[in-house]
Amino acid sequence: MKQFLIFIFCCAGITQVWAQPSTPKKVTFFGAARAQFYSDSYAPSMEDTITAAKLNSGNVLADLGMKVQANKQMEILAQVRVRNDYGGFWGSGVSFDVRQLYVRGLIANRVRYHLGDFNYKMSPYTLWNNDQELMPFATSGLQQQWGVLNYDHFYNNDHSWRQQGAAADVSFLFSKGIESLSLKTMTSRIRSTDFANTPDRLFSGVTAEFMVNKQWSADVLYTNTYDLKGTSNNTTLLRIPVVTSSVQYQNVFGKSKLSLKAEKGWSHQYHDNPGALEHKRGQFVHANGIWSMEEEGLSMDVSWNRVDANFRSPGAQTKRLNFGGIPSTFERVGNDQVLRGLNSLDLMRESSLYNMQLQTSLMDFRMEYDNITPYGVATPNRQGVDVKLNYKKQNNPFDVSLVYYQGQETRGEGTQVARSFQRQSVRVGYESSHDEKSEETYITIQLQYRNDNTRRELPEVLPQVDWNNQVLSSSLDLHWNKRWVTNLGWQSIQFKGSEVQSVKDFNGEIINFKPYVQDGSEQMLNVGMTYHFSKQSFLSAQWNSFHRQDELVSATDYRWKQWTLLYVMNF
Amino acid sequence: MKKLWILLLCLPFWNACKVDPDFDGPDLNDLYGPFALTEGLNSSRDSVDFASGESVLFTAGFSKRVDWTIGIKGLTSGAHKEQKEFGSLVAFDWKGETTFFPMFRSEWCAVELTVENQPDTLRDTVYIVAPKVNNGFLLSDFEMGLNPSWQSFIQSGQNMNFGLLNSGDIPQGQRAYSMGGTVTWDWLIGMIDIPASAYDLSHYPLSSNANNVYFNMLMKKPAEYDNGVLLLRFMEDDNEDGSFTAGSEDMYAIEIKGGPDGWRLVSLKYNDIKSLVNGVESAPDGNAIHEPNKLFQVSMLFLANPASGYSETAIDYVIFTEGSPLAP
Repeated sequence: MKQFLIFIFCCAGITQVWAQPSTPKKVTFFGAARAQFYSDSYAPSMEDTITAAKLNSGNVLADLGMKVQANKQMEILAQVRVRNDYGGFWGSGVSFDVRQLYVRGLIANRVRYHLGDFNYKMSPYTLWNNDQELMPFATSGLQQQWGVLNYDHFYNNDHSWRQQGAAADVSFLFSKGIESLSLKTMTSRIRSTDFANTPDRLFSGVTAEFMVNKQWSADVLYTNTYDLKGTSNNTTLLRIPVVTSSVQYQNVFGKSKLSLKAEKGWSHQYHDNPGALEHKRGQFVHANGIWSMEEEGLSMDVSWNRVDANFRSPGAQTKRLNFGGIPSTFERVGNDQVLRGLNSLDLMRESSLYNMQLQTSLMDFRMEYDNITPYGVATPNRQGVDVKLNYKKQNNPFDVSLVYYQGQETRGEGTQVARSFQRQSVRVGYESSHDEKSEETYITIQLQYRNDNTRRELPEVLPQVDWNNQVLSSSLDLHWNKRWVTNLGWQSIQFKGSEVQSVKDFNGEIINFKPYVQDGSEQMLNVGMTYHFSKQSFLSAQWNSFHRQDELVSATDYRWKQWTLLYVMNF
Repeated sequence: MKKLWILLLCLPFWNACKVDPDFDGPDLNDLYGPFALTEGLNSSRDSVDFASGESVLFTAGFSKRVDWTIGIKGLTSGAHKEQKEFGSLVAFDWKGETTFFPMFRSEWCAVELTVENQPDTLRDTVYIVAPKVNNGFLLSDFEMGLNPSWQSFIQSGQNMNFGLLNSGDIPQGQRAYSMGGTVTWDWLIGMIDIPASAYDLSHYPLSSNANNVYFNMLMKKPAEYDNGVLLLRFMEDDNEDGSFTAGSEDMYAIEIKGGPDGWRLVSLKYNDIKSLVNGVESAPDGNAIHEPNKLFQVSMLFLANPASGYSETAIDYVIFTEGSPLAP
């Protein structure tokens, strides 16, 4: 480690690139305010004389932040959240939290550092925050609610995870050999000790990016999820190191651009108390080629990957959604007051279902919503080809994207016969022509459809796998002028067939199987109006009618109507 | 240089695109497949002489992996051997050992093969010409009575019951040794000293490797009495002067109490036996090295809390084995 640091500083002395920051304001105030109100009514298909048919809930909050530019090379940010839940009186429902706090700056104009809270991503196989299920299919009116969840949990479009710890990076330019080298490193605490049997758990990552020339580049990434020795009485300490390396090539041929990438990685999950638990060694390989013609608006993206069943990378496989959670709205239903299962409406409003900590075991997923890539591109036990075709041309009102995936397991579950997976997806967007500066009326239309199939053919006496789920989403937005928008949307999720769920022990080993049969759907109609005060602030009133149908168990068949009032302001 | 990069680009895909021959989790066929007998219960011989090293192989086959149990019952002794395994093939090689006492004798045995969650039972019989012989140094199986060279002390309490058992529940042969009584003034009810000299030896004929030597005996805890404690003492002649001198030579001891009702096998690795003072582990008085080759005397003290009333135990087939514990 010492030699590594000496190397960094020696290299930094030879050459360095860093933009000199201009002198900004000394203190900047920023923040956001939000008011959210739900009015729900529940109508089951079976007699239910106990569950309250109507519920009201909501909250008002303000995130107040202050950014201090201590000097040219140091910045301090602190933000607090004041929240008052609907129904709280005289301070009983009020909470104060520190939402984020960090210090960042430059050391000797060479090394950039960041201490405290930060967002960090590396690659889809090392540290990557995959989108939650169904979010890409949200209609425009419902995207506002997904946005609230994503804002609260620091889920960003760049797929970074919110971490608390330290990060640093430095870049070098070279006159011979390679053009540049970029080094990045971070460490965060993903679980704190209980001072008894649970040790501190840390996550560290290192990235080295080599730019050979304009065509060729390569990188090496390393992450490790590890328990810190001595922080508890527990001597069985987990280690999950992951190493990946990739080579990339890109070039321009006339009007088209070609980009190729090959990546391979290894993971090793073990405990440093010998013999405590089984080791898991896994690897992956990924190839990707993108051909694009920018002038024509066309691009084709072809990927092939193989991820071993034993490949484990907590940074890439942790899910946003915790499907083991319990909904807070209509938590128990029916005359027997049984726990209500999660549905797609819960996913876009239940903040408590969302996870911000990296998890070392594979989290539960719902095959109704995604049975093929529940852990993103790093989903273990998958191999297949993914083809994406995109068309989006400037000044053309239409944009289209098509996706086809054909894959299979790398290792069977309960049998040598692997499941096969097939996915077809299409998205069509339309935006009528209009002048951005004028207040003329225009419409945007979006249609999305995804069809997933999972199959495994075995002798008839054994449980069959023939699972299909479809997601259809359509939305129409009428922009009356710059401020008023009418939102119309409809989303349909259908799931039908038989699957075999695996039952796992605490170490993630499959110990049993459970046949799973479903035949149902979830339909959601959305009508609403949004008024935009500015690009950063809006007031929205939305009405949703949700219907869950279950052809097999009528007790879980119900309707749910929801009024939402949402006010968001950023400053 | 360019070729090198292209090679690096292609290298990761070497040997990819295949499905592992193994699979995760239990076999679905075991869980959900139909059950059928592919091979009936067969035994490799009708009669077996375990004493001469023979064994009998039981085989059977199923269409899927199941939990199967072979039970072998001695029709005269009532001895019972039980073997449970999980698999689609039965290949159990029986060498005459027992799971539930008593031990097998020369007798006819009934063999039953059962499969969990299946109603049918497969049956066979086998005749034991001569039972299994256990290798080791046998202190006594009490078939010839109490060794006259053993020294015993029995308190003059009430209902004292020290002597041979020759009827009822005997785990090996026809006889065992009982110890019982009520002593209201002392923990000690009675004791037996078994010196090496009882076998015309200066020391027990055991190897010097304490990790290789096992003390074994069959012991009974009556269902009615839980208050008995059997204290075993192992006295070494560290200086090899032909005697044990308390306070200057090693004495290792262990207390055996509680446990399941009925007969059970007690097997102790010699190296695991500690030095005790009033039941508490302490440093040995001698060279503190477990030396079974210098074992001078074994003592068995039967104890009980004086306030707890009558107490009783019984022992049989006391034997030292080497290499492994007794497999009766």
